Parts: sequence; structure tokens; C-alpha cells
Amino acid sequence: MEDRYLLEKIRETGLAMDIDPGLKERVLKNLARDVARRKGFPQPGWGQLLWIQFSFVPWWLWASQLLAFGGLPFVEFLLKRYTAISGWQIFPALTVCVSAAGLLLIRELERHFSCRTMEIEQSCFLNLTQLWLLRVCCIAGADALALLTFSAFRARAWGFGFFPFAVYVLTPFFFSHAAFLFLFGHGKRGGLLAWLGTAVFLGACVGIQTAFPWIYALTWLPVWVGLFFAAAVCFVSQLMALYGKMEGEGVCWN
Amino acid sequence: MKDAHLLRLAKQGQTQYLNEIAARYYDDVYRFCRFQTGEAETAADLTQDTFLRFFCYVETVRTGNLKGFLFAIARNVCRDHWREKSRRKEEPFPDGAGTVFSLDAEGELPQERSETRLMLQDALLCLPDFQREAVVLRYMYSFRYHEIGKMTGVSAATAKSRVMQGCKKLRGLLGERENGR
Repeated sequence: MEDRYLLEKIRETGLAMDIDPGLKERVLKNLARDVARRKGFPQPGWGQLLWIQFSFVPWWLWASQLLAFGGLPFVEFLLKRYTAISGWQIFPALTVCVSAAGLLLIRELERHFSCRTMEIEQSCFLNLTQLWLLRVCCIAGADALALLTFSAFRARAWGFGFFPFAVYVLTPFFFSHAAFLFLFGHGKRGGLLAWLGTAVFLGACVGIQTAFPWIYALTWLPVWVGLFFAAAVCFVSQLMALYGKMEGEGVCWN
Repeated sequence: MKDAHLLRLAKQGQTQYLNEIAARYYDDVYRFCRFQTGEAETAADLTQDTFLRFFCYVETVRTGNLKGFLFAIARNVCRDHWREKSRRKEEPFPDGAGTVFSLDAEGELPQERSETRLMLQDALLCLPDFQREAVVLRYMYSFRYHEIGKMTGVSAATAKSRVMQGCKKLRGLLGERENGR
């Protein structure tokens, strides 16, 4: 509850305070002098920041991602040519490919702990966690787009519609990325336990799919859609955890 | 031009807009500093420091509440001022605060009203820093409790309790002065 009397009195007192025009002019003049001396230091917008981060992703990462994803048609070709697999049997192989892409992404993030920190220096508007976040968004976004494109072109060849095929491929993609991010976030602190935990989890995921590939055929699509959302939630929560890891810590050496 | 647009232009390197921000918020920041210090000259200096500090950090500002951000800086500047003053072993507050306020432009106002204002300012200066800040931000500038909390680095509940306690104390101080008159 507001104290009406005090509210009125304080307002009245504040408004009655004389503002010396001479003093005001002097202060504003001093400030203008400071502003004139100040060099413009333009801050890029979010779009520009994203583009800068995109351009800082090293060539070898794109090359290896290209290998991982460009290898998909090649893997597909080999499987079709030298094995008798069909339909859902392609998915375990795809799971391995998308997990490999996630592993490469983590290698890229880990670089910031060791050398070539130029990127951070160049991105003074971002702290390290924001930088990681943008970097993961850039690379994982590009990868997801590549997977969607692959699904659009190849789903029919394996007897699936675009939607189920994309769901089957993207679910392990998000799960493996979430697991890798967890490993990245806790690896330094959790040490061996985090590494082991993630390895067991991924091994189990890939192992189950590889050992029992028919789970794609037997499980209902709605269950996979549910799993897909669960994977996406895991991925986003790991992104947020990663972002919160060093919140408030400014990393800028300029 | 809206604050957000003005800030965006300034952040984009168009430094002339910093002058516009200073001109727009000079009066508010000055009054706040004057409430905190009680001296016109000091308040003007602290206002200048506030804007200079703001200019240094303008590129990194990611808040939509420009006014709140300026007040948060002003609060820190005032605190630094008092800290510096106490380090020099000076009195934390000016003696006879009533005399340091010169309400020049109010010859036409009734004498009694002016006296009440002086008493209020005097009483405000007797409050602890954190209560005075909270009371002024709430009652003079109508900031919400969560905004005050953000500016002063405490929770909204703490900000509210500071305002309440400050008001209670202020009422008591005003009562004492009324009786002593």
C-alpha cells in the first residue's frame, strides 16, 4: 500500500528542485565533448553476429560434416549394392552418421579451451557461452537442414514418406547431440563419470537400434514423434545448461 | 524517438545520439542524485559521471529499460561518491541538510510548503542509503518493485520491504521535526 502523503510530498519536492540551467549546460557540454572524442564502436545486430559466427566455423569442420552427411548417399549406395537390406534397415547406419556429426561439433567447441581463440577475441559482444550457443545453433542447424534435404530426396527410395523418415533420422540426431552437449558441459567437472555415462548412453542407443533395427517398423509413428519431441527438449535443455554455465562472465581480450 | 531506437542507434556507432539520451534524462538523473546528496553542485557532477559511465558501457547494454539502467548507474555513482567521501574522513552527510537545499525558483510558493519540502529532504538524507534509494525510485519515479530490485541488486520483496521501512522511518522523522517546530 502506497503512502499517499509521502508520495505527494516526495513528488512535489522532486519537481520543485530547481535545475540550474548553467550547471545543466556545463554538464551537457562536457558530455558532448566526451561524445565527440569517442569513436563510434558499432555493435552488430544478432543477424550479423550469427553470420560472423557462421564464418568463423573452420573449413575442416564443414569438410568433415560434408563427409559425414555427404557420405550418407555413399553409405546408402554401398548398403543397397552389397547387402540385402531394405526399408527400416537403413536407420542404424544413418544413426551412426548423425552421431558422428555431433561428435565433430563437440570437437569444434572444445577448441576454445585450447588454442585459436581468435574467434572469441573477434566477438567481444558475446561471452563464451553465447558464442558456444550461436556456434551450436549454426552447425546443428545446418546439419538438421542437410538431414531434412536428404530425407526429402531419399525417403521414397526406402519406402517411407518424408515425415516418418525425417522423424526417424532427426530423433537420434537430437538425442546424440544432447548427449554430447551434456558430455561437453560436465566433462570437465564430471570427468571420467560423465564420459562413461555418455558413452554408455550413446552405445545403448546405437546398439539397440543396430541390434534390433525392426523397432522402426514395429513401433508406431506417434511413439517416435513423442521420442522426437523428447529428444528436442533434451537438446534445448542442454543448450540452455551450456549457456548458463558461465553466465555473467565476460570473455573479451580486446 | 523511443528509448530503444535511440539506444540502438547509439550502439550502432552513431554517437551523436548519446547527447540526446543525456539531454533527455539529465533532469531525472540530476534529481535522483540530488535526493541522494542534497547538494546541487555535487548532484550535477554525479549526473555527469553517470552519463560518462553509461557512455563507456553503451555497447554492451542489452536492456530494454534505458531509464532503469541509467538510474542503476546513478545509484552506483552516488554510492562511490559516499564511499570516497567517507574514505577522506568527511561527514557522510552534509551538516544542516536543510540549508544546502536552495529552492530558488519558488518565491511564489507559500513559505510553509517550502519548509515542509526542506524537512522532507532533510529527513530523506537521514535514511540509510538503501532505503533512501528505494523510496525515491518508488515514489519519485514510480518504478515497480521488481525494477527497483533489479537496479539495486536485490529481490522485489526486499525492495518492497526497503520502501516500506523507509517510509515508516520517514514518517517518524517528519513527525519529530513537526513537533520540534
